[in-house]
Amino acid sequence: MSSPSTHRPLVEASSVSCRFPIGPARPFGPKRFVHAVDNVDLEIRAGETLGLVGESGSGKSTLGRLLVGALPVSAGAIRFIGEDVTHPTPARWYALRRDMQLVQQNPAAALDPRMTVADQLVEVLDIHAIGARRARHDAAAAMLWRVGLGSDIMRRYPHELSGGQQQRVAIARALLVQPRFIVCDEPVSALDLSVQAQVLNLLQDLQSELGLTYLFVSHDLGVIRYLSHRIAVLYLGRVVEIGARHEVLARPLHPYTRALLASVPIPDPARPAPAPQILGEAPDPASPPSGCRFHTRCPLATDICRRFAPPLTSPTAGTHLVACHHAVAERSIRGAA
Amino acid sequence: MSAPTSFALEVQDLSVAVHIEHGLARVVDGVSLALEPGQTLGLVGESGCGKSMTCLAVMGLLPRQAQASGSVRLGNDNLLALPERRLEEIRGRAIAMVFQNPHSALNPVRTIGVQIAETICRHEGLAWSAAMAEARRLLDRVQIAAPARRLTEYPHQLSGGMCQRVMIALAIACRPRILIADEPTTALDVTVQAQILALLRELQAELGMSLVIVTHDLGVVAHMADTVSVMYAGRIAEHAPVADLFARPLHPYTQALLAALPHRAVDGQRLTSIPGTVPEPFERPVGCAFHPRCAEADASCADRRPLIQSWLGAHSVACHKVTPTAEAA
Amino acid sequence: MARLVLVKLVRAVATLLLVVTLVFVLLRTAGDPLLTLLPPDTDPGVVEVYRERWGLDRPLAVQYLLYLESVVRGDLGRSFRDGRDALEVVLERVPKTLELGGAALVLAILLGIPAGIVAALRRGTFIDRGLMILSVLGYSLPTFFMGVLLILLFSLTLRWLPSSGTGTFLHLIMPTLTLGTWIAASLSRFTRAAVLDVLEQPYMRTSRAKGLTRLGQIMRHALPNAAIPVVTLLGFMTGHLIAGAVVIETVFAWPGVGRLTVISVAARELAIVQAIVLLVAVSMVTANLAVDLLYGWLDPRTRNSPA
Repeated sequence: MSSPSTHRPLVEASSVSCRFPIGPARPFGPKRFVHAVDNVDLEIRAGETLGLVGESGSGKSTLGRLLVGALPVSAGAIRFIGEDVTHPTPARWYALRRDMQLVQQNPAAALDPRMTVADQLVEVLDIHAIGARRARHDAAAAMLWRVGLGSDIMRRYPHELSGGQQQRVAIARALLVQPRFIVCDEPVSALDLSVQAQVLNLLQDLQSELGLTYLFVSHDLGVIRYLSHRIAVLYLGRVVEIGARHEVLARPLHPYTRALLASVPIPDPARPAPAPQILGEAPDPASPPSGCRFHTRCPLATDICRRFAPPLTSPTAGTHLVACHHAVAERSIRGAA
Repeated sequence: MSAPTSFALEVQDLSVAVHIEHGLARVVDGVSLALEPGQTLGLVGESGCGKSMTCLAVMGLLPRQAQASGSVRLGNDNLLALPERRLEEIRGRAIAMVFQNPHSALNPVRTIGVQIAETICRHEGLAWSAAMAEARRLLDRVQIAAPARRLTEYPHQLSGGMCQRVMIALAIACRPRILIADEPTTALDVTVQAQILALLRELQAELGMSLVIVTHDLGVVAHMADTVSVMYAGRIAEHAPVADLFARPLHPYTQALLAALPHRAVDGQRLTSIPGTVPEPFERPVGCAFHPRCAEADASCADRRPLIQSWLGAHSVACHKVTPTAEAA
Repeated sequence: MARLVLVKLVRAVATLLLVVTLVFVLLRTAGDPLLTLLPPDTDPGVVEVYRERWGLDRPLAVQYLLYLESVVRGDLGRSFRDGRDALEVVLERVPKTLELGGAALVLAILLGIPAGIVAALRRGTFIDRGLMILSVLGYSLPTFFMGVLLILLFSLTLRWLPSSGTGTFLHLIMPTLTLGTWIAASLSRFTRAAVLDVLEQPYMRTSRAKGLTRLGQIMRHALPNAAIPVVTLLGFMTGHLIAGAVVIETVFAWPGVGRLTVISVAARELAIVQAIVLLVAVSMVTANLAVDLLYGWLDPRTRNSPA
């Protein structure tokens, strides 16, 4: 894999929160909110893939949308190449579409069922006035070829394509504006295993060819393991661990990360079966636990965990950060491999 | 297949044909399976391979447009030949099923307690209060906290994982000999999945059930199944004990599937993918269904459909290219 | 839950207020109301006298407030013909309308809902097609046509039943049949759709997998879910009953609110028409509210605080 640049980050999130209102608990009681993303600090460097892992309610999809501007933040700031893009003007927001794009989980839903592939691709070029009008059709065909689809696809409608083909069209559409940053939100979860491999290979090839930066959101640790340079783990809207891929996977510091990794069934009967690590279910995001949000299910929880939310720091003053009061003490203990 | 002892469930040459606008599609095409008592069979395949339809055919739950042929032997009965009335007695009691989306699989306007108790009443003839007490015990057994309270709650008040536990409680309520789990954890988080799968293993050991677990996740199969059948385009491609399947996959499709796993990928290298796509049931190629995508296919593969042949005892495969001499090499 | 009820009550009252206002606006501001109220050849001087007497020379806002006050008091004006209180005139017709409407609704439920259920369960068969054809016939046939046909058959030819009016049970049969089958026709289609929709649901497959008998699956799982939209529809139909079946009441000379509406509109009995409109509004809003609240009982998913 191409090594990412170590300059100033391409995308930065500072204390970003996103909350959604829900009904009050009592009639006429105080308003309640779900903090889907709570005070997240994150940076993504040019050319790298940051894998964002978490289960349902972790806020990973929401965070992906926030970074690409598809959802407004409730608090905090987002910067793109140093420029503040938290609340862009409509004109600026449109211009930013040429820099950042989103590829979603369900390709059939992401494509307009009433337009042919050619129309949808050319539409993107029309909106952003890219290239000469006469040449746009050819540019679209060229992009399709690049994602591994023949030009016979141009005339078809989305429902005539397979899931893998639809996802490739969605990727082609995202690439037409030549973005620098793409948020991939579970792009292969809805695809069969054999097709997954095709799309993942494509994403990787495009990254090395075009120098793309990805935020790759997924609940599938196998895919994350394969694609990411760095991995961030989310729990109930907060980053609990972030670091280089090898570090996080081989030496996870946060109890949640360890439990997550231990729960994944490895497709190899010779390896031990995943033993259930944590009890119960994730708490209701509308009323998250106090202090460290994981403390209700954590085997290491103590009083301090109930009272204070742990900061995201590095026990070794390196790049592997973790938000756990007990991580520092446990630094020397190896986590599950 | 191994020499027939008393199988818990034996499926022979099962086919399911569905009427669609293009004609008659055989979504399941001559499938044979054997389930040993107390063992777990993993039924693996990608979407559209017919694994769910196979299970529905076994349970007699096929939709109206589908017809099944072949035989499904449970004890002395061929389930496909039984009248509906007899099937109603067998379902839920001798053989039970757990489905993929637990929330939508439960009746939204009836309490959990009622939904469990009615099965018990139906098959065991208990009085209602006794059935509710048993329901409470079952909820406790599937590790649901505060079972008494849950009895009066509705499915929408429970999380996905809890709903699936309720479904499992429902399924084991009358101590079936066979439990079919159709993608039971696909819709759940991986940490919850680990809990549910462990629960299923526990219950299987405790009740001595045979388990059929249908999934597309090879990780799940690796740790749940004793034997595995791999399905492709409505047919069985390969069948083997689980360790054998992963260590020495014989069918090119199985090999390709395992090679495509991200887990198997070596750093910096591309994932091995399988070119092409799965054929639709009405577009199935003549001969071997996999041959258009197979790197090792030749003329005979396009001609004749390969039959499943026993290979080294418990390991069987349906492929023209797998021969004794090739294997020994 | 209490908050839910309170909110719905407030909404109901607000809706009523809106209707009352709308009636006021329509009758007072669409042209000079006096020209509508008085005979066309009235002497202009007399018109002015009445304008002052009825307060129609006051500013609109004042008129509105006076109007509101009188509505709350129950004084909706007087009939021109006999000077009786309009509300009283209308209310005395209500029992007859409810008698016919109630009987028709009961007949419709007894006929339509089972028909819909059977058609859904036997989908695609002759029974299903046959029932649906009957249903289409039922609501396509104009009610006056059916009514007249029945009169021709049972009153004039067979002389079994009286052709019009009211008084005995025999008088009730034909109007009820006419109205009831018409309602049953649409009710059966609706029920069929509701049951079909429920039969597709995953939980029906679970109930089958549990080994419940077909009857058990239908009674315990399909019908309780299908009941939700059907009961909702019935609730609205009940609210509508009070408006009376205008055509049927006219055909059979049934002394109900519907017939009164026709007579009053023709005779320009403004106060009575106004009273009828308000009565129907109250009935519909109340029925809506009842259905809303009933919904919570039928569908547990809507019970707790709405998000």
